[in-house]
Amino acid sequence: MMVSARLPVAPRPFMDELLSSWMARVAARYGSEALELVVYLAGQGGRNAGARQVDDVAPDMELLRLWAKACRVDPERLCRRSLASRYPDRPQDWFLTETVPVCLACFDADVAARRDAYLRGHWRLAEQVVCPPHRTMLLDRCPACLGRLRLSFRMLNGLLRPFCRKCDAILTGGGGETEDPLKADFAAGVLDLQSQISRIVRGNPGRFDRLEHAIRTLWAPLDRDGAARPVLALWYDESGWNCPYEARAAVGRSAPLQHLSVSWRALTLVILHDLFGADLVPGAVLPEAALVLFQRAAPLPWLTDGPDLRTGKGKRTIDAGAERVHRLSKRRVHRLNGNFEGERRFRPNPPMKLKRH
Amino acid sequence: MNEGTAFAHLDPTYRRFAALPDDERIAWIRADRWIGFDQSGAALARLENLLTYPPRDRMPCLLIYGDTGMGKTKIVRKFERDHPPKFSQITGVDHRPVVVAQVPSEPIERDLYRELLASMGAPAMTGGTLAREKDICRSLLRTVGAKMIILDEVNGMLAGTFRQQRIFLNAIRFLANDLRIPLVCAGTDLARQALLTDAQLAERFEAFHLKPWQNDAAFAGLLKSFERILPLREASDLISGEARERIHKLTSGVTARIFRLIETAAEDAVRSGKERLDADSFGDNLVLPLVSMTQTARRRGKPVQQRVGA
Repeated sequence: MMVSARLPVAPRPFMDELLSSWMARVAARYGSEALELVVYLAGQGGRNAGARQVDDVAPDMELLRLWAKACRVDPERLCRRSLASRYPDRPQDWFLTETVPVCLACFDADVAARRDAYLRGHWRLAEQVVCPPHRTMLLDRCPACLGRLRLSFRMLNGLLRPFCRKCDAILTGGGGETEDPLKADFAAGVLDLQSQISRIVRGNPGRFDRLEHAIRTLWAPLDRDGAARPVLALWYDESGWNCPYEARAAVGRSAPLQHLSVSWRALTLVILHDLFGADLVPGAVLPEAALVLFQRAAPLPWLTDGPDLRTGKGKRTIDAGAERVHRLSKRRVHRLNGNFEGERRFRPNPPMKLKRH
Repeated sequence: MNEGTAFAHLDPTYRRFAALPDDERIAWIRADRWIGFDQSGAALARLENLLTYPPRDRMPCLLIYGDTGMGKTKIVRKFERDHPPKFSQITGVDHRPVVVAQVPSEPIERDLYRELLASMGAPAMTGGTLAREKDICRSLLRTVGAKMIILDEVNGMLAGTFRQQRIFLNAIRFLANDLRIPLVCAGTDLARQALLTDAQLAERFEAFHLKPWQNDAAFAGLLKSFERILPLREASDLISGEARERIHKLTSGVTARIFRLIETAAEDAVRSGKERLDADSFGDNLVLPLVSMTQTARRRGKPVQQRVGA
């Protein structure tokens, strides 16, 4: 009979910590990755729990029980740390599923408090782009190598510190760096929008539906064949603007924010504010600027509530539109390219814009 | 029958075992147990003294050495049991003052760290560099609050080449210096010789020699302890001169042999219904439990009975 392993050192999860972060911290104490440790623990008595990543939103209970037993934690306590338990009214597609953006000031605060660095649960919320306590933009790129941020925890002076997996740069100790006042102003402005969006997500379902519709429409592909961009591109009014690689994955998705980097999510919030004012969601009558943009969206199923009218070559519109954006955005678009013809004409001056940096 | 008065020859704590059925009494006799004696008490006191030693740059270390079967491992395990790990739900740390590990079969530094990790119940991950494994081992030893590292079977170190031995001894010294905790090594006399090859370690280690039993009052005290705890229904006589002499000669004063011999004789006494031990219990009819004891008997010219399955 297998005897379940009891780990001699199993740090407790913090109140606002992500489950995956806690597991990474436990594994880091043994110089290991969470997945490796799961395989080890599963080998000590689990059946099929090996080789499974934890889902921060709705974790697998068998996996949680395995961790709970090894770390001598109440499995219910771990279950309460899942995002689905913490944010019961929030739809699943309003949580980030890929990279978790981080706040370096929070990591510095962990160092100052003599505790392990850890990933906060609210960093996985789709609308979170600014750290509320520190009022700084979250980071999803390593400040040292500028690569997409993937963290690993390692022991340093008796505590776990976050490192960039790619370049091994330590992500703490950046305190004292003078914050650009323009960046701080921008972050403060976006923080207000972010808080408002959070209230909408938590509150009235009707308003939330309109918010989702507005975001999907902004990130829907343009209705014209050969267009290389989402509807949001029209807001830019810049010739030659190409949909950047990092934003391509969001085009034509039903939950675009899930697939966007921090800066693109922040920009989406700013555009919502620009188009719909303080409400951030379309009302009964669309403002003219929004109307011009929204009527250019390809008819996607979740935008029209009806059958997909634009089927080309046997493909559904969503696939065709998204693929087109992906394909065309790989090459530079000349400003005299037909891509832009007839689009600039409809672009009115926005009534109010937040500063963009 | 009143158990309180029925087995008056036994220690009150052990009287209830004498009333058990034969099978259960035999199982009880065979079970692993600790019987304290003077030398073991002195060794435990030395270990206890080291455990409370305040951290300093040059921590004192202890070598417990003696022949095979003298109870070194028993003493180490007893000390470990006396200082069990305590888990803190708040910090999630198993506070483990005493970490006991065996020296690996070959003196390889990486295996030493893995043995230490395994003795703490920590997984040893494969694929990491040696430096990383050392860091993790040190970090975990610090986190669990280890106050003493005990390495058993240190004589196994001699199985390696001279260079391996040097590296291994350096690793041991490094751990003791870095963690500023006492290091205890246990092994045969070969262990002492192995440590003597490192002048710095030899300076730092105190030696505690577990000597074989002499046929004296201390030996009689040990036998008396057996009389008081073994679940036999009649009073035994192990401290008579003849019984002591026989036991001592058969076992050459080696602790493990003494224990095994008396346990075997007690088992026989239960099976035969004799229910007591005396000099006759260690006569020619007794099948000697250990090969090493048959050797002793042969040297003394005593015929050894070959019983299958004994």
